[in-house]
Amino acid sequence: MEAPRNLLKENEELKNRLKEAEELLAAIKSGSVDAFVTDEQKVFTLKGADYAYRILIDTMIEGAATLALDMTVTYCNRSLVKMFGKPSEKIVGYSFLGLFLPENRDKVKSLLRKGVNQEEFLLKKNRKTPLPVLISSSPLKLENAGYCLVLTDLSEIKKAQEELQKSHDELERKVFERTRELSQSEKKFRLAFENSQDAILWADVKTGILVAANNAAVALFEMQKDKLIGSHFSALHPREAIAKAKEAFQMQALGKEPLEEVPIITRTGKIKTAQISSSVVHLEKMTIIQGVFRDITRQKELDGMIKEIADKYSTLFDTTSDGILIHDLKGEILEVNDAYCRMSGYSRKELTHMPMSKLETIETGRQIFRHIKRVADSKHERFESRHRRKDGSVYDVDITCLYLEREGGLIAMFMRDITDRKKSERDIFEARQRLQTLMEATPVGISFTDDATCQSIKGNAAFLSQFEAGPRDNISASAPDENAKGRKVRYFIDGREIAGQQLPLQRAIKENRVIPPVELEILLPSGKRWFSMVSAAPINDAQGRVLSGVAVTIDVTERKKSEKALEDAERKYRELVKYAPAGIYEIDLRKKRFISVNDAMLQMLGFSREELVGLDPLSILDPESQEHFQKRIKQWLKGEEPDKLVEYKMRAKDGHYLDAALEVSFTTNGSSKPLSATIVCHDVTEQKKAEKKLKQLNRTLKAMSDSNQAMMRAEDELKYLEEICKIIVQDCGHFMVWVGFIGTDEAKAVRPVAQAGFEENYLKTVNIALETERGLGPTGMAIRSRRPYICKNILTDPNFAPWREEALKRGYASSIALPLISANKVLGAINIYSREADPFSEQEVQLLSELSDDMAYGITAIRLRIEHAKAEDALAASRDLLQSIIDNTPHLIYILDLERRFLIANKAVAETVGVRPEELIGKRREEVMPPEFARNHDANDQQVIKKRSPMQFEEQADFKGRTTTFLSSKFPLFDSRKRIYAVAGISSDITDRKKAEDSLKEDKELFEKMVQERTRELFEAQIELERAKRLSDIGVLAATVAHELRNPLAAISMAAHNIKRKAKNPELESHLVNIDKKIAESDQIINNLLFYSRLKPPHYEKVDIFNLLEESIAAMEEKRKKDVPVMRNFETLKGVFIEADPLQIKEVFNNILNNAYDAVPQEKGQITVTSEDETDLVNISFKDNGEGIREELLEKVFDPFFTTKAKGVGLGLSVCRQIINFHNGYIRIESGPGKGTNVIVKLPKKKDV
Amino acid sequence: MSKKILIIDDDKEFCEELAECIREEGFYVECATDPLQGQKLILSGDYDAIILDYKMPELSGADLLKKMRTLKVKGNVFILSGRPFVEKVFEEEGLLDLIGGFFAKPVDMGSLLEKIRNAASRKHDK
Repeated sequence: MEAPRNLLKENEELKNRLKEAEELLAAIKSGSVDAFVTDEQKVFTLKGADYAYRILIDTMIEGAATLALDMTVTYCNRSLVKMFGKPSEKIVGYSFLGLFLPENRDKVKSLLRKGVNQEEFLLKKNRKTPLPVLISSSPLKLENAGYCLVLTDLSEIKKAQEELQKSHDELERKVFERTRELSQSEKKFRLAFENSQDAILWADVKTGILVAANNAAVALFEMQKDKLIGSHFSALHPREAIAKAKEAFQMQALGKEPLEEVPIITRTGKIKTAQISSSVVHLEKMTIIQGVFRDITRQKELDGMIKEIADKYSTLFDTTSDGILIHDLKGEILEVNDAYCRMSGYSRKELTHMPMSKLETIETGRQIFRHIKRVADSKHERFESRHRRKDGSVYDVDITCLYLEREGGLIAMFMRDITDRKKSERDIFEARQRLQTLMEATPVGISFTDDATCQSIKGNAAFLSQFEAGPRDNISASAPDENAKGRKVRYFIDGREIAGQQLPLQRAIKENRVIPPVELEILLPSGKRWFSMVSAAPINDAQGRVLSGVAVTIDVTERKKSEKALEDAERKYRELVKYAPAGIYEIDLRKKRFISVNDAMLQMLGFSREELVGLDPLSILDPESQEHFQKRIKQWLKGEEPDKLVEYKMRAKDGHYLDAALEVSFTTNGSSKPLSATIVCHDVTEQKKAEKKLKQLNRTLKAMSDSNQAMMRAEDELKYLEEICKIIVQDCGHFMVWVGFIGTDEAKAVRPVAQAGFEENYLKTVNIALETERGLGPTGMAIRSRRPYICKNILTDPNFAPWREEALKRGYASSIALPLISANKVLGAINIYSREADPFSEQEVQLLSELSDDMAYGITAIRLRIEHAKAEDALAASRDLLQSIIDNTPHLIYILDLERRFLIANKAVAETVGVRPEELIGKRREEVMPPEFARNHDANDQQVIKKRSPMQFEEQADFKGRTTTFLSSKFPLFDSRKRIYAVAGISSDITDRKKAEDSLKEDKELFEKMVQERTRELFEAQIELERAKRLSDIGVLAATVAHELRNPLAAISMAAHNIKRKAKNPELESHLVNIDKKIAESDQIINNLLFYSRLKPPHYEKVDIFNLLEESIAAMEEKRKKDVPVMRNFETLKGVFIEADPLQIKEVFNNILNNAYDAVPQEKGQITVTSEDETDLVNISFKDNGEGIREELLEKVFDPFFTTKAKGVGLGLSVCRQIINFHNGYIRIESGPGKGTNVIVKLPKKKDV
Repeated sequence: MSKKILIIDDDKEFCEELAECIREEGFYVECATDPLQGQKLILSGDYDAIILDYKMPELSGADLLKKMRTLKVKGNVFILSGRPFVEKVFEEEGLLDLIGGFFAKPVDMGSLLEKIRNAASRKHDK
C-alpha cells in the first residue's frame, strides 16, 4: 500500500507546482507581477524646493508627482494634470490609484512597492485616446516617506515606431516598383530600338561584324535583317569610302571623335549620304560600337539649292548702303553686311555671335528679348533706336525688322544711320524748350500775338500775373471793349490816358519797327495801378512781312516806390540820432567836456542834458574804466589803432553801475592828435547778467554730469547723496545743500540724510514734519506740490518764518526746495541755500529740477542695484538648490546650446559619462560620447528645434564600455524673442528595463517550455499512477487471497501428513505424493501473487551478479528437470558487483527462465544466457528457441494478469518490469512468431546512475 | 511428565491435524481456536512451547505476545503465518526474545517438530 500512496502524494505536489507555474505565467502576461528587481537608488524629494524648482518641474514635459505612503497625491505638476485630463485640485489630496481604471490599480501598487522602478502604462481614464506612459517611481525618504513619480509620455516613440514600420513598407513597395519599372524599361528600350526612325546598327568592336540591326537599318540598306547581321560594316560603304569608314571605326574604338558624314551604299547600289553618330557600348559579353545612321541625301540636295540662292542674296546683302543684321530669337547676331560694319565700327568677325544687347543702348536685354518676340508675332516692324559703336559713341538708327521663318526663326534688321537728322530735331526741340523755360521763368512780362491783327494776345506767366489774368484771358490791347465788364485795362503815359492802338505792341506791328521802352501807368480792372516799361518788336517772315509781334513789359512800380523811400530816409535820419535807442555822445578830448549827447544817453544815465554837459566825461566811468580809457588815449597817441569796441562800467546818476559797450570814433585835427570822439553807447547790463546766468547754468549742468557719474560709481545710497550735495556746492557754487527723506512715522518727518556746504548745525534746528505746522515751509510745499519751491528772499518770504532766524544767522539769503520724485512717488526733497537773494534763474531751476530727478533716479537705481544683488544672491542660492535637487534625481537632466555645448548637466549625466559635473559644462556632446551616438542625439535635437515643441526619443550611447539605452524627452528653450537658444533633455536609463524585458521574454519562453514538460510529465505520471493503482488493487486482493489460501492449504498438507502416517498403505502413497506436489505448486502461485503485491523499493546490497545468475539457472535446471541445458555465455560478469536487491533480481531471473522453459519445445529446446559488461551497466539476455510471441501481443506481455499459458496468473513479467524499474534498469523483449524470444535486461552497476 | 504444548489458531481443522501430529510425538497438546481463550490458557498454564497463528480475528499473534510481555509471562513461542516476512512486525515491537521461530504455512512438519522438541528439552534442562 506504501507505493501508491507515495505516488498519489507526488502527483498532488506536481499538480500544485503546475498550478503555481500557470498562475505565475498568467501574472507575467497580465503584467501584475514584475519579473525583475532593481537596486535601490538615490532618493529625491520635492519638499524644500523653492519656486524656481517648481517652475522647472511644472514646465518639464514629464509628468511629476509625489505621493504620501497611503498613495495620496501630495503634489503634481502641470504635465501630469494634462496627462490625466483632470484639474490638479481633483488630483492633489486624492488617491493616486483613483486616476487609473480598477484593473490597472494593482499594477500601480506593485510598481510603488518595488522601490526605484519603471513600468509602462496605458492611461485610459478621462482620456479620449489612450496615452502610453512610462512611470518611474522612487521612494521618498526625506521627511515623511512617500513616493516620487515621473511619468514620461511614450506616444511619440510609439508613433515613431509605427512611422518606421510604415516607411519600411513604403521602401519595400518602392523596391517592388523599381523592379517592375526596370523590366518595363527593358521592354521600352527594345521597342525604341526596333521602331527608331534612325537606322541603328551594332558592330562588334573587335571584328567589325554587325551583330544587331533595327527595322530602319533594314529599310536604309535595303537588306534583309539576317543578311545585314553577320556582314562586315565596311560592306555598308562604297569602295572609295571604305578606308575612311574603317578609320572612323578605329577612332571610335579608341574613344576618339568619329566622322560625322559618310557615303553609304545600299544593296541595290544606291549611294546615299548618311550622318552617323556612334558610341561605344559595353555589353556583358562583348563591347560593340553602336552606329545611328540618318539618311541626309535629300537634305544634301536641298542644301545645294539653298546655297545658290544664298549666293545671290549675299551679293545684295553686301552691296546695299543700309546696314543689314540678322540675329536669332535669342538676340545673337548671326550675320551682318559690310554697311553695318562700317556703321558700327566693328569687324564682321566681332559682330558675329555678339548679343544684340551689346549694340542696343535704349532697351535692356530683357526688353530686347520681348521686342524680338513682338516682331516674331507681327512679322514686321519699324522703329527708331540708338546703337553703340565700337568706340563707345552712340548713334541713332532707323530700323526695319523682318521676321524670317528659318532655322527656328531669325530677325533681319535693316538699319539707316539717322544721327544727323536726330541731332537737328533735338536742337530745335532744345531751343524751343529753352525759350519756353526762359519765358516762364523770367520776371519780365512777355506778350505776343498770334498774327498781325492783335486780336489775340498771349503772354508768359509774368505777363499774366502783371495783368492779373488767367492763361485763358485775352488781354486785348485793341480799343477797350465797353461791353466786356470788368476786363477793361486803362493805360496812361505821364498821367494822360492813351488808346489801345497807341500801345507799343500795336505800334510795332503797325509800323513794322522796334518800339523802344516807354513808361506806362496801367490801371487794372481790379483797381490796381502800376508802372511798367514796355518795349515791342514785330516778327517778320523771310520776306520782311509782319507775321506777329512781341512785347516786353517790366514792372517798375517798386523802383518808383524806392525812389520815394530814399527821399523819406534822408529826412528820417536826422531824427534818428536824436531818438536812437543807443546813447550817442561827442566829447572834446582836450577840454574834457561833452560836446553833444542824445536823449537815449541821458535816459541811460539818469542825468539831464544840462547836468551832463557840465561833467567831466571821465567821471561817469568807474575807476577801472577810467584807467582803461587813459590807456587807449595813449595808444592812439602812439599811432596805434585801439579796438573800436570797448566795454566800460558807467555810473548812473543814482550811483548804480551799468555795463556799457562803447563804439568810439576819434576825430583828429589833421595832425595825429585826437580832438574829439564820437561815442555810441549801448547798455549791456542785462546782457552781462544773462552771461552770468549762463555761467551759473553751466555750473549746474556740470553738477548734473558729475552727479550722473557719481551715480554710476555709487554703491551706497548715503555716500551717493553726500557726494551729490558736495557736487552741487562745488560745481554750482551754492552755499549749503541738504537732502531729506520723508519718514514713515505718523507726522511724516523729513529726516536729513545728506548735506554739504556751510551748515553749522542748521539741520538740527529745522525739524520739518509734513503733518505739522513745520510742514508748510519750502520743503513741505515742494513735496506736496511736487514742484520746486523757490524762496527768493528768506527775509521776506512768510513761508520761511519758522526757520528765518537760524537761516539768517548762517548767512542764507534765499533757498530752493526741489522734490525727489521717483516712479511717481515723492521720496523727499533737496534744499539748496544761497547767500544771494533771488539767484535762481528760470533755466537754473529747470536744470536743478532735472538734477533732482536724476538724483531720485540715482537713488532708485542704487536701491534697485542692491535689490538686484540680493536677488542675484537668492537666485544663486536657488540655483544651487535647484542643482542639488536635479542632481539627486536618477534621471539625466541637461541643457545643450545650439553649438551642442552643455549649459547645464546634473550629477546623473556626469556619473553616466564618467567625469566630474563641473568638467561637463562647456563641453561638446561629441567629446563625452562616441561620435556615432552623438550624431544620432544631435539629429534628435535638430528635430526638436525644427518642430519647436517637445519630443521623445529612445537613444543609445556607449559609456564606460557599456551600451546604455535612454528614454529621452527633449524640449526647446526659447529666449525672450521666441528664438530657440538651447535644447533641454531629460533622459531615463532604461537599459535594465530593456534587459529585464528581454530576459522576461526568455523566462516566459522557458516557463512555457517547462509547463509543456510538466504537462507531459503529469500525463505520464497519471498513466503510471493509474497502472499503479490497478496494480495496488490487485496487490491487496492477491495478498488477501494468498493468505487466506495458505491456511486451508496448511490444513490440507497437515491432513495429508497425518493420513500418510496413519495409513501406512503403499497404495495410498502415490496419491499422497500428488497432493504434496499440488500443495507445492499452489504455494508457488501464492508466492508470486504475494511477491507482486509486496513489491517495494529495493533493499540495495553489493551483489555478485555472476553467482546470482548461476544460482538461479542451477535452481531452475534442478526444478524443471527437463532435458534442456542452459547455454551459459556470461563469463564477462565474473567478478562484477552491482548494487541491487538480490532477492528481487533473483525473482527476475527465475521468472524469465521459467518462461523460457515453458516456451521451448520438448525436444531440441535451447536456452542461451549471454552477457555484456559495459562501463556503467550489465547487459544480460535470455534467448530461447520457442515459438515466439505475435507482434500484437508483444506490447501486452508486461501487463499484469496477461498470459498465454494455460496455467499461471500472468504476473511474471509484470513483476520483472516493476523490479527492473525500481533499479533504474531496462527490460525489453525481442520476438516474433517462429523467431523465438530474447529478453534483454540491463541493470546499472550503481544505484545512483 | 510429558511436555505441554499449546496451539492457538482460528482454523479449527488445522488445529486438530497439527495437534494430532504433535501428540503422536509424545507431547501433551492443548488447542485454542479462540485467541481470547488462548490468552487465558497462556496466562494460567505453563507450556513448554506455544504455537501461535499470526493472523487471527479479534486478537493477533502480536497482540498476544504483547500481553505476555506486559504480564511478564515467559514462554517459548513459534509463530505460524500464511504471510511471509512477518518477522519485521515482531522485531519492531521488540518481541523477538519471546519467539523461538517462524514457520510459513503450509508448514513443513519435520522442521516444526524438531524445533518443538529442542525447545521443550531446553526448558526441562533448566
